[in-house]
Amino acid sequence: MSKGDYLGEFEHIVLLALLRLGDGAHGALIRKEIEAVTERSPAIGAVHATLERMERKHLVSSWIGEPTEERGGKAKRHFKLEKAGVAALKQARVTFLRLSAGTALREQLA
Amino acid sequence: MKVPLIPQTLLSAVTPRSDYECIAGDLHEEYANLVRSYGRVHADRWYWSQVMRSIPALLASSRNDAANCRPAATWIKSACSLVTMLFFKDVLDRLFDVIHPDGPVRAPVYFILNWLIAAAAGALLASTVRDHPVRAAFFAAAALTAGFAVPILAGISSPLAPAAWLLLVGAVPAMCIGAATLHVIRQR
Repeated sequence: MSKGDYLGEFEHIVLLALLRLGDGAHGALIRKEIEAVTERSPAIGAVHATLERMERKHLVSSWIGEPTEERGGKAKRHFKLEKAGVAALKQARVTFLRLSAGTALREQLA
Repeated sequence: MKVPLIPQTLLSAVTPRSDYECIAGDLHEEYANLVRSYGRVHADRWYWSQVMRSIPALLASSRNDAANCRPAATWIKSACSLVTMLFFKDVLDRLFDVIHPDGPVRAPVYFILNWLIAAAAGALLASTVRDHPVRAAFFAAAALTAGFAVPILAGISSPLAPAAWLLLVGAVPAMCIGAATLHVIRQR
């Protein structure tokens, strides 16, 4: 696995948010989900830039929806988690579990 | 419902064309909800904050390519590059004033560091242009001009020093503005 294949922290968070929301989620929904779960308020530009970067890595895909009135007549970009994205999440989880196995992390966090 | 005009204009200036509708729509959607829940003052503050914090990520987005980049985004990035270059140049001068407090003695390392700063500025500027070959050529020329100015600056006591500074400080923004203007003309 080359260096560019590993998930960054924010990429990891955005992918997990997309996994929780399911296919078809759009930027505002993903941003709100991250805010609700992590209690940090990411900028919408950072969310879109991260999703765009992951789209280039084929971890997610996107398509443009129809314009709606509640968005001032502007269209949504919907996102879908791809197989490579799921694999990257699994890899990150396995790495974390391997590294934390046998350490006192569980006791320290308890 | 109308969103605040100034941050919306700023957003449209720096967001890649292909992303603007989606990002502005996302902000509009949340803004409308916030106005209903907390009032316009809170919503305005949130909108401003979102736009200002989004700018660095949007400027760095790889969608800011030839087809999608707006001239304002290039100007902002070029200005940031120039400020960075001037900052390091100032740090370097202050450092050498401490090393050589008696006079304008310039060691060879000063010359090399100056050239490196000019080269770094060129690299920073080049990173802002991505797929724009014409602008890349302009920026390379600007960096080269700055590089040529450095040897004259090395003999700082020379009467040519002010002219060299003008060349160094003036060439880069002049080229940036020229290149961005050319980009606008080509688009039309």
